[in-house]
Amino acid sequence: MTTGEDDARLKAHMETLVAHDRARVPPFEAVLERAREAQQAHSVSRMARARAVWVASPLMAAAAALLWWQARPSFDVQSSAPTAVQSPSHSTSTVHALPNASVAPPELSLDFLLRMPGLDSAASSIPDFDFDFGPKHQSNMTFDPVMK
Amino acid sequence: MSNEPVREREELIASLSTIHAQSYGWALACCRRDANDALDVLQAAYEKVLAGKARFGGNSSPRTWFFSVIRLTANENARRSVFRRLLPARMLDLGHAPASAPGPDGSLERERMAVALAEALAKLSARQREVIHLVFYEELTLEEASAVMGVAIGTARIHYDRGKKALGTLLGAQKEVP
Repeated sequence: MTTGEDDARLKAHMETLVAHDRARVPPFEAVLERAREAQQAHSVSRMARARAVWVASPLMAAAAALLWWQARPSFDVQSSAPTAVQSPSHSTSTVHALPNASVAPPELSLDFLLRMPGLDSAASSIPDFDFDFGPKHQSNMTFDPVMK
Repeated sequence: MSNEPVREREELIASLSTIHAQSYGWALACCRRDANDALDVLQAAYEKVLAGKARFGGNSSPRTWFFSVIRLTANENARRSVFRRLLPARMLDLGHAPASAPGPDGSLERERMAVALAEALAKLSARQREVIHLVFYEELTLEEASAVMGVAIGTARIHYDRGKKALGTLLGAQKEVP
């Protein structure tokens, strides 16, 4: 079979497929209308998303700042003594500590941290570094403001 | 003027309406003849034109340009639906429209030929299927087909020759099967 005959046979086959598909082509107007609707819906949702971000961003930033402000660590030491009340049944000055009286936290210091269980051994395992910034190193730390 | 792009777009849409049937056929070929996917792809391609995402530069004919848009859109769709495709394979969709009763003019025979060709095309590689479809179905030249496929004309010719040979073999083999 020659190439021309092959092409003709293929063409005949293809024409049947073309006829088959042409009978099933959806109307142009319907497809275009659906495309228009989808495009408008996409643009509307894009605008809504942009507006939501525009409104929500400052609110979220403010909320985050508020949360951070409330959760910030406080090192204020009011008093180390327990809260006390005067007993009404005794005229003498008998002092009872409230069961749920809050005890102020100890002063936060490096010594306190190192006394915490486990931390002292961890601290001792830190190797000593020799930071030697002698004249040799300093001589390299020159700065030339006109350097290009 | 600000109305110029809108007017150009409307003109482009008008010219696309004249090749709508061919565009649908090409979308079918790009979607492995899945009619639902082809319709989605065609609609998405029109949507790109309407939104100005796909712009006709005038370097080729509107048909060649729009076929490229369809091809790229189909590729995007295929990538998105990769998980959908893990589902059981779909049947070759040739019964999308209600099947017509065989007429006296041999329409049953034509339907059988169309199904046989669609099955044979499905067995070709993607590039071979594309170039065969563009040349024989859409009646584009090899140069136009290579522009749509985004390959050099030499590459398109190689795929065309191999595809034609493979398709001839497949159709011959189908003919021998009773």
